[in-house]
Amino acid sequence: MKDFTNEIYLDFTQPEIATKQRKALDRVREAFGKEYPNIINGQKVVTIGKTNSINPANIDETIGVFQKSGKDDAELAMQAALAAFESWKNIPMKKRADYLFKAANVIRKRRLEINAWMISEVGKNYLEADADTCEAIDFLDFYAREALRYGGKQPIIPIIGEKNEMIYLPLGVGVVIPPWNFPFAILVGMSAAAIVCGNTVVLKPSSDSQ
Amino acid sequence: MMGWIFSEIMREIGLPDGVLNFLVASGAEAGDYLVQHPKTRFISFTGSMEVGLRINELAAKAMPGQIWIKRVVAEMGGKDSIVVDSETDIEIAVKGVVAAAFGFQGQKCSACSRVIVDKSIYDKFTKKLAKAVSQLQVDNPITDSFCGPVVSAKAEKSILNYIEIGKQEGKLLNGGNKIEGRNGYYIEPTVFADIAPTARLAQEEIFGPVLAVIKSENFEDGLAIANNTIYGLTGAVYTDNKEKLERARRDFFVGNLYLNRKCTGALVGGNPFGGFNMSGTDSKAGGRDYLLLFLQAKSISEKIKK
Repeated sequence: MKDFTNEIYLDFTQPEIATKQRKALDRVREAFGKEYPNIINGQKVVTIGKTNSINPANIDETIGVFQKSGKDDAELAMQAALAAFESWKNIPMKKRADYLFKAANVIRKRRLEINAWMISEVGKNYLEADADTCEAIDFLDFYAREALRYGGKQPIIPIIGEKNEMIYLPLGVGVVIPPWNFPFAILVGMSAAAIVCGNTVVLKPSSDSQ
Repeated sequence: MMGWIFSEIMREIGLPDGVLNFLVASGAEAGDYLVQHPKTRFISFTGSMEVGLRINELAAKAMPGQIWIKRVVAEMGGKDSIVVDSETDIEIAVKGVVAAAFGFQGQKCSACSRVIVDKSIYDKFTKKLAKAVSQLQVDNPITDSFCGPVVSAKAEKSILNYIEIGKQEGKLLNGGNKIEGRNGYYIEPTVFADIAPTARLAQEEIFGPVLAVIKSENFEDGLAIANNTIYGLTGAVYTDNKEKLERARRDFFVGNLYLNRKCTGALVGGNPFGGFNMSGTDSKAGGRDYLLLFLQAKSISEKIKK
């Protein structure tokens, strides 16, 4: 495996790259205002109440309509995470790390689109948005490698007459509450770190970015 | 939106159902419920100090049926300083301060919200700083302007309130107003000079495009001022003096210290990120210790039969 390296930021001073980003912005603009469900146990779930995500640069524009979950929905998510933990905790670290590597590759392909959503939803300029997306990719690539390290043989002092080892186990169900200001990088990093270790997650983003 | 995109990507690549559950809710409704749930094993939080402390308090109380101590990982706020020494290139320092204070409108926990300047260069520095800030463009981010709007009506109100406090506490050098006539939450990049180290503008996290300039007697005094908050996330020092850099390494009490560069922009792997004191649990995201926060170790010992 290649050593970890940071993703390189795009150079938006080059007109053709800036143009590509603008085109991606136009494309996501066409998708403004759609409704997005919760995802609980792999199922799309909607609630009666809704939460609108507004463009801070033009408050007449709704970026997307999201759900407004209550305690019952939270309980469903908890039960789903608890059930999934029973099998997920036994998946080998290497296989769990592969999900992170795969996700990083999908994000690389969708980079300009993801930047465009962030520019629209929280008001980042192009480079700030791209740095956020790059950081998300970095977290996935870095934590996947880290998981392989923690999943491997751990150094321990030998004792005569005993075969000794120390292994790392996951904790259980985690509640992950990321912030709105690095709406992709930190959300991805916090979630991926918990998941790759074998935990299952209830992810509840901050209320300013869904 | 971004949580939805990530959850969809994970579903697309075949992550088993139930491993990642995505839920949009207010903190008061579902957040508290999940934090207090007896089956919750850990809480990983990044956000304000107020919410972080509340989570820590709620999580500390064992609920009926709970059989563990919940682990809380919390990355909270900052009141981050850049100390500008007399022995430095003022132009370079101004550039670093402007980028760290006004990048993404100052809405980073690592943002520079206080610049502490040696009295011998104070006037020269503030003049150059004011000029650089006056040249910043604020516009709709689709135009790729350096600054855009702040994130919400709530954020705008809170920042404008701090700007009013600043007008009482210091001398306004730049900005100081909401930008009218736009259909968004635009605030002028704002700088206040002559802020006392104990003023509210020097102590409280604003999370917006507002920078306080504080005068120091000397480098020692600058470091003391930098350390005088309840936070300890990021900090930077600009000086060409090696001995002063060494002192900063030892005495500047922050989780992420930057020498002769700006205090924002930590990279995964190279700049493990997390702060001291009320900035949180120093979790060091993007570093080698981070995954340990979500793991527990088990020792296994087998007797070898002769």
